[in-house]
Amino acid sequence: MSRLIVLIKKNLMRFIRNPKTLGFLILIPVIYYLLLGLIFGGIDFSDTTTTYNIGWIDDDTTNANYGIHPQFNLSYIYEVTDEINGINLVNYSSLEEAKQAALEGTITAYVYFPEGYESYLENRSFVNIAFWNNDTSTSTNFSIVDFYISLVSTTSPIFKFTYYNKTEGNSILLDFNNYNYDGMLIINQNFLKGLDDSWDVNMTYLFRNGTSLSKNIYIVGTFLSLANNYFHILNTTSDITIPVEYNYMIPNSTPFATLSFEIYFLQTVSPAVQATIENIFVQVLSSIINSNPLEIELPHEKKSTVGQVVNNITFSAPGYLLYGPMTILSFALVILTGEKKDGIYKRLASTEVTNWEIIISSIASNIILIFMQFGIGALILGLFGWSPIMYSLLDGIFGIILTMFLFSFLLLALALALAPVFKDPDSAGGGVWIIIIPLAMVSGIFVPIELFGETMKAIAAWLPTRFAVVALQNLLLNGLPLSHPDTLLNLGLLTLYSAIILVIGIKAFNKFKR
Amino acid sequence: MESAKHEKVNNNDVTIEVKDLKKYFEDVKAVDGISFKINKGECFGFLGPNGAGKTTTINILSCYLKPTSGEGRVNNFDVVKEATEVKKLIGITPQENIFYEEFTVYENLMFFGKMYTVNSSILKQRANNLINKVGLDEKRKTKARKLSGGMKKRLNLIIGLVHDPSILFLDEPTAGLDPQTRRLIWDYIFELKKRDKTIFLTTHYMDEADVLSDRLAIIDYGTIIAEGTPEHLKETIGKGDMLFLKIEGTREKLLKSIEEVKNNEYILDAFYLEEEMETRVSAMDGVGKIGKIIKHFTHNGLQVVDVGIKRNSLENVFLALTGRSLRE
Repeated sequence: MSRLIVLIKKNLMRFIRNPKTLGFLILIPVIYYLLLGLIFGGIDFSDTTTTYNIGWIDDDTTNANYGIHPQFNLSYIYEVTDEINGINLVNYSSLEEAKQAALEGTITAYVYFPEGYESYLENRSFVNIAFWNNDTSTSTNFSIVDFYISLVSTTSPIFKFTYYNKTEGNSILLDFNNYNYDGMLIINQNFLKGLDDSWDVNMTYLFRNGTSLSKNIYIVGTFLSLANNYFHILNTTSDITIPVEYNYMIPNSTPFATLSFEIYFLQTVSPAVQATIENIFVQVLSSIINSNPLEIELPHEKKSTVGQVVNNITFSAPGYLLYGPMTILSFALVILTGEKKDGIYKRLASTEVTNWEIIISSIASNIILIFMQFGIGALILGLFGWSPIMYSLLDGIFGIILTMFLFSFLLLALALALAPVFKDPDSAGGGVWIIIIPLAMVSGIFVPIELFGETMKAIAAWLPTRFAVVALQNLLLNGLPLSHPDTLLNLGLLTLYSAIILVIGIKAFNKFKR
Repeated sequence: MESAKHEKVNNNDVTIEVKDLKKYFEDVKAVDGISFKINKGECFGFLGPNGAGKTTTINILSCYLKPTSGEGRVNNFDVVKEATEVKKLIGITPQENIFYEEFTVYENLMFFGKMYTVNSSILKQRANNLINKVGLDEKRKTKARKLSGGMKKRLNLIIGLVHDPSILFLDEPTAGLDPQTRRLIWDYIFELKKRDKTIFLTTHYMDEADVLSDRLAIIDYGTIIAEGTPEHLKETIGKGDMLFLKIEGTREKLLKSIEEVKNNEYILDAFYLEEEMETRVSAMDGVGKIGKIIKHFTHNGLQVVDVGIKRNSLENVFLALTGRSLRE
């Protein structure tokens, strides 16, 4: 351990003792972020937010229940959106009227909500379940009807249930598309007998085609928790399970129809402005349109998300903040190839140092530098008006640390894998930009991916650096928690890529070192 | 306790043993079946031109490279299978200066000492001693990049000694140095010999191998072509010692005597150089036979008035063995 610390200290000292390298390490991000701040943040530090006039056309005559779901009411959405610093909403009665205003330059864009939108949102916020009691066994201790009543009362108002007996349930299942159910919970044959005889018993949940996995997990989790609580209180020793399988989809069931809102732009509006406005509206509405019951339980969190200022810097910062650390790839490669060229590895090989100590110390010292780069970037972008939109400060900080930690691993894995390709520090220092620039460009670090063509978007989706960009966007722009499935998925993919490249990198590097 | 742990029982007092060692890099046979033994406390010279396989041999014995085949043992530890134990015993001074240019002399020693897991307080004392021994006291806090070539070479040498190894691999320790620094390093190697260190010294300097080695091997194209003490090699291989004789007497007698002297088995060649008016006699162990040679000429009525001697050298030994100069 002490050898490892000495190696890490040595790596850092080499940076500190080399004025040119240290200068570049600090100067590159400083210059880069100052330029970005000046270009996109504006020179006036106090006000960097452009105000956009946006048209609003509400063609919907349906009404969400304001008492239960205020966030589904378009008037409420209008108020919240209009409060955003930089957005000024203007009501129009028709698309034609809004288009005319756009052509006259009164508004930059307009948003259209079609008929049935509130009703659609509200309907999708409930979980509508067909409850099929398919059990003909009887019990003196337990009752399915009592369980049903408990289920209805406990899960209201998010869940709505309709009870069906053995014969009714079967016909509902056969004609499922004519009903508005998300799925069907089935009490299987001999369920009560199983409880009496202390067997482990199960229910079956069949879901409608098109239902998201997260929603199904939430629904099944709710049933499972309630059923075990309920029957255990009644002194059963049976364990109740509900298998969640993809093939438990109701055959031939059709997904619920979706209803979209529309954002209109004039062609003359720049793509960057279009992307900014589109992003604001998507963020404002995504928490509502996404009818995952888990999210509906947290409406106040959505308010904080949509109430923030989204200026150009804030919109692009997650990508920009990854560029500074990316330059560490170059320094790491120069050090790795330099130590090889200078014979340091040869000398170290005659000592008691292990390969792992060399690799781990290299990773650890570069992680410190990467965090330094991130810190410089955050500080400078902060001066130019970057205002991160985080789920919570603690969540955001922890998320940044985790993302940057994984991103560091990716970069160091790349450095290890690329060292044998470039071989010496001169070619590594220059040649690595052939890797850095495309990775940064295509991942959406410089330019939002929303502006890409479909082909480039598809390519970007497979780049490991893209996963880091998306994770940081979720954490610092979209205000999503670290535990959000999309964030976890991207961090997971980043980990997977890093691990694969690290294994390849270590093998290649060990060979190169000799 | 620590050193006892690192020692492996060695009945024959053989510290380094190499058996049929081979290292091939694709088509290049860098080392091609060499075998030798080095005893404890011995300075073993490994002489050969550039590219002969000297450094490759050191790299294998210091566990940096794995051999293609054959066996290398250090204190009876296998250099491949027991590399960790071997590394605790050896110190290496590579041919090139390998250290951190941005670190001071003292910091470099401390860093590499810690890589050998030397206790901090012992390390500090040892680093200061080593710095003192090679005359770098005033440069203790100077960054390595600011040292002269000779000073760098001295630093390179003592880094390999910072953990006080019992076996040293010195790879061309004086290559490219001025005579004064070279002498200083030689003196330090002499001191190490006195401290019973086993030294494996590669060099392409004949005089260095001659002066420092107790025994030496000559390697060329990856194979050992001669092995023995420097004296033995010079006495048995090469053009022998060259005697430069100024002889007075008649020309006929002199030429006749020159032809006669060639009949002695220890005489390799003899001839008269008109321009110099000098007789030259090349003889194995010429110094030892000088009395007999002079007597031969005086018996023939000639008078030897001046004698010059040029000793046989390892350069000549190498030339005789390979047909090439060591520096070709």
